Order: sequence, then structure tokens, then C-alpha cells
Amino acid sequence: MKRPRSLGYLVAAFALVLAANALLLAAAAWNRHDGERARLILTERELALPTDRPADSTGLFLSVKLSQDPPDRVREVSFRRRYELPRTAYPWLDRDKLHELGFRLEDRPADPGDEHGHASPGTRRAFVVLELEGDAWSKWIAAEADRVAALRAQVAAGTAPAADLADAESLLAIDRTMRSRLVPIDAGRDEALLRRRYPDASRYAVVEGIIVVGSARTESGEVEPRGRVLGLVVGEIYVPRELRSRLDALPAEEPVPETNPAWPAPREARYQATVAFGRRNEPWLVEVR
Amino acid sequence: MANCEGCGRLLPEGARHSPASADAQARADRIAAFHEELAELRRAGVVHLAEDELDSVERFHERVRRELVERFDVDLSERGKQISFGMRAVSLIGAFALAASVFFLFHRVWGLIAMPLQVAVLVAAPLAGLVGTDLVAARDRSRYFTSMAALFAVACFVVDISLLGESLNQAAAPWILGAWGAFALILAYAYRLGLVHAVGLVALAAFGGGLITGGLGGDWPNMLESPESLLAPGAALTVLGLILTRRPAAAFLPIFRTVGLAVLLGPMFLVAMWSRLSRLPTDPETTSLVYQILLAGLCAAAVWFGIARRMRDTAYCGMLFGVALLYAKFTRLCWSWMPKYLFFLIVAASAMALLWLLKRMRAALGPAPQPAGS
Repeated sequence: MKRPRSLGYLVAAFALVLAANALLLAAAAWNRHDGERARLILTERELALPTDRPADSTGLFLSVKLSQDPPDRVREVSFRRRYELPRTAYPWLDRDKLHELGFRLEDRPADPGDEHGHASPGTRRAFVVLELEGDAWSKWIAAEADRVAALRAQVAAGTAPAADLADAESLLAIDRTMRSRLVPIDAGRDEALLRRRYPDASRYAVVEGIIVVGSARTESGEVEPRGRVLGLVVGEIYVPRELRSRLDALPAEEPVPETNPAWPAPREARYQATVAFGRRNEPWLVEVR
Repeated sequence: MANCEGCGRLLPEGARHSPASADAQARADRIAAFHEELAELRRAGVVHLAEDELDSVERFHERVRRELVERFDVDLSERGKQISFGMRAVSLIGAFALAASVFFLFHRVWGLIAMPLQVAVLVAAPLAGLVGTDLVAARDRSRYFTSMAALFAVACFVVDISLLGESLNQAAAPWILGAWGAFALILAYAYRLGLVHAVGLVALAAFGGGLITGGLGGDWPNMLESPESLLAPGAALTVLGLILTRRPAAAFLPIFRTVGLAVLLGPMFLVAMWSRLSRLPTDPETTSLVYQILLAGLCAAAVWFGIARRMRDTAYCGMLFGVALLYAKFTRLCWSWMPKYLFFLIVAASAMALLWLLKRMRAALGPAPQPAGS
């Protein structure tokens, strides 16, 4: 059987493959062209190694952690101990900010089937300002310390179990040395405006994030919509082969025991990494030490 | 006709390609049915043919069958058709396994090679897949192996773009879905591959949904949170499946309609059942009711149109989603309060009614046309 003439189609397919790859490479080059928009010096706290590195996958990607993300080992231990970690709230992601980001909240009548009282309007992308070890981080860690102090007083008064205090103190010690200091402090749809508002390129980075609407109970007991940063659009950073030696030399973590595991011992970050952000707000690793 | 040199001229437009293969299979089936009926008539004494006349007919049909097998790889028996179905299933499994092996191979070597070599390997893989597909197609009459090779090339292209984008720390954009879809369609039209064509259309529908979701400010990888973004692409594909007349796309109209209806009716079903997924500024109950009515209407229209135009794919798609809506609604309304024995009794009775309806529909649609390509 003769087969149809396919040369024209082959040429078209070849051209499509080459064009798509060229477009990706051109976008990467354009991102890094004409200087950086920000350069942050992060540590293991903000750029976490994967917990599992199977032999089938030799590429290395570091996960970008925000302050709302507990260290991976803490999350795993809390899961096995059925311990509910406190959630991080962003008061600045209130109704007005959510409207500014394009969420439509008022024009939908409350759905009686929605336990939070606000039907979920899905996720939206926005530019998020990340602050590294600034006021927001100081306030957050101070608030956690106050919470532990209040719990200590309750234990002394006999109104709270001592085990809760032990857990809270362990987690506070971990947060001081191992939790990410990268805090989302603002968001918007106008990237240039955010850059003008936060010009310090060594402390702030403007990146694309994913916002979702949750809810929070006010002091009067009302349920109000409150946003959360679900994550970053680029949540992992590739480690080029030439920068891996420091990371490959680190010993692998022991697996978390199945039953009643202990909280990990607090430790200092084992490496530091310089991350640059380009014109497309896409990051790349400059140095690892 | 005394010989088979003009066999091709017997087929529509003298065509050698699909849908000619469907007509070739139909011709082979008619020949088999003719011989069976002729044998019956002779046994009953209704027909008396001289031996030389019988031999002449038998020799002629033997030549026709040989040519049809050589040129179109038709099945000469029911058992042959069943084996063909098995071959399609096996080629699909083989294609997925090849794609998985490519994926894991790239991830295994990724960290061991420098960036320039990474780019070279990624770009070379789909190009090699294209060359391999062409070489296989030159020797493969059945198109099962060609389909596997083409799906392998598509998988290489998918891994190429996604892995390169991840290594460059880029935010994925909807256009990559469009590129994947276009690549699959090019291969489908080049080698007349139905499954690859379906894969391409699904990717293009997702591309359309991603564009709409991203354009409205949403997070496009989560486009299923807003199923309504897929309605326009689904409608477009369905309409194309009804109006396209130019080759090569016109040879794949049933696939256009099937994928289009699935992409159109599926999201409507989701919103009809879970109205919170809708982005319309109406209360959830109104939204749910509107979508249920629209969905029921479209399903009925698809069944009616499919029967009227003898388009099995359209009729069955409409029936499938109509039945799904019926049972989902029935379950939601009755499960919590109806005695379970009565609930399942009603489901069984409705299944019998649907069987009767499907039987009537099958009779109205007539014999099934053979699908074009694998």
C-alpha cells in the first residue's frame, strides 16, 4: 500500500518543534537580559531540598518555601502525630484587597450549603510581594512567642495540658531556626506599581502567585472572606549541574518513624543560595555555598 | 468487472485513503455475506449456477479480497475483527508504556548532563520520533505500529517542552498545550491516525480553556475549577465536526464531534451537579437548574440529530450524558429518603427502558461504519 505524501507534514512538525523550543529559550534569555529585578540571599529555610531523591530522578529542584509553609519534616511529623499546626493568616488579604485582585464576592448570594458562608470563587493569579526577614517576619515570630507565653500561663493555671506546651515550645524553637523568613506582604495586578512601592531589590521580590479565598471569623463572630497565598506560580528552582556539589555532599535525612515521631531538633541552615529574579519575574540560581 | 486493476475506482472518488478503508471493509463484508447467502440459496434449491460460473465468481472475489487486504488491511472474518480490536488495545498500551519510558529516562539522566546537552537531547527526541514514525509508516499497512510511533513522538514533544520549561524555571503558559495539540494533529493528518487526532483535539480544547481561564485572571492549570471555560472550545469542535468538508480534517469528523461533545457536555454536567463551580453572578440553585435544562436539551438534540443524520457518535454521546444526568439527578433527589430496595428497583426498571430505547436507536442508525485509522 502506498502511504500518503507526508513530507509537507513532516517539515511542519519539525518547524513546530524547533519554534517551540526556540521560544522557550528566547523567553529565558529575555528574562535574564538587561539586569535583575531582585536578588535575594536565601538559605535552606527558604529553598528546601526534596525529602525524597529517588535514583530514577537525578535532576535537582529546590522548593521555594514561604513563611506559611512549615518545614517538610515538621509537616510530616505533625501528620503522623495528628497534630494540627497553626495556620498563618494574612490580614492584608481582606475583602477590599480581594476585590482589587478581581475576586467577585458580593454579587453572589451566600450559598446555604457553604459552611463558610461564602461560595468559593476559585483561584486567581496576582503579583505577590515577598519580603525577606523584614518587619512582617519579626511580627509573626513575636506573635508566635506571645502565643506560647500565653499557653505557658494557662498550663501554670492548670487550664491547659502540659503536653500542648511542650509541643508549642518545640515548634517555636524550630520556627526560629528552620522556618522560612520569606513573607508575602502585598499583592496586586500592577507589577510596576508594586516595584515602585517596594524598591529594595535585596529584600523584596515581586513574583507571580496564586491567591485563593478562604474565610476568617472576626471578633464579633462574623465570617468574613480572607485570602490565602496558595503558592507561587514558579514554586521550584532548578539547580544546574555546576552548582550542585555543595548540595550533593549533604547527608540524606533519616525517614520519619511511623509511630509517635519526635519533633526534629532545631538546626541552622546548611547552605545559602543567591537567587536572582528577571524581567519576567522568573528566578534562577546564581550561587550556592 | 473481470479483474481487480480497477478496484480503487470502485471506491469513492477513486480514493486510496481513509474513508476509503471504511468502504474497503464494507466491500469485504458484503463479499462474505454474499457467499454465505448464496450457499443457503443453493442448499434450498432456489438458485442453480453452473460450476464454471461459480468458479469464475469465486476467483474474482478471491482477487478482490487479496487486493483489499494488501491495500487496506481489511478483516475477512468476525474473528479477524476481534483480533483487530485487540491489536488496537495493545497498541494503546504499548504507546503509553513507550511514553512512560521516555519520561523516566529523561528524568534519570537529567542531573548528570550539562544544560547545552540537555537542550540538545530534548530537541532531538521529538525530531527522532518524527523520523521514526515516517520510517514505520512506510512499512506498516495496518497503522497500529505507526500509531504507537506517532504517540511516542507526541510524548517526546510533551516531555521536551515541559522539562525544558521547568529547568529554565519558567511559568507554564497555555500556548504549550496548543503546540502539543498542533503537533499531534499534524501527525494525525500525515498518517491518518484517529487516536492521535483525538489526543490533539483534547490538547487544543485544553488550550482554549486555558486561554479563557488565564485571560479572565484565573490560574489556568486549575481550569477545571471553572469548567465553563471549556464550553466554547467544546462547542467549536462540535460545530467543526458538522461543517468541515475539506480534507484531511474531513476524514476525522466523528472524532471532532465526539471530543467536542465530551468537552461541551462534560463541564455542563459538572456545573449542573456542583453549581458552585460556575462563575455566573446568579444564585447556585438557579445556575444548577439552568444548566440541567440546557444539558438535557442539548443531549436530546444530539440524539435526535445523530439519528436523523446517521451519526452514531453524536447520538451515543448525547445518550451517554443524558443518562448520566438522569441517574445523577435521581440519586441526589431520592437516595437519602427512598428505601434502598425501591431505589435500585427503579434504577433497574429505567435501565430496561433505556435498553429498549437503545435498541430502537440502533435499528434507526443502521449498520455501523468502520472507523478510519487506529
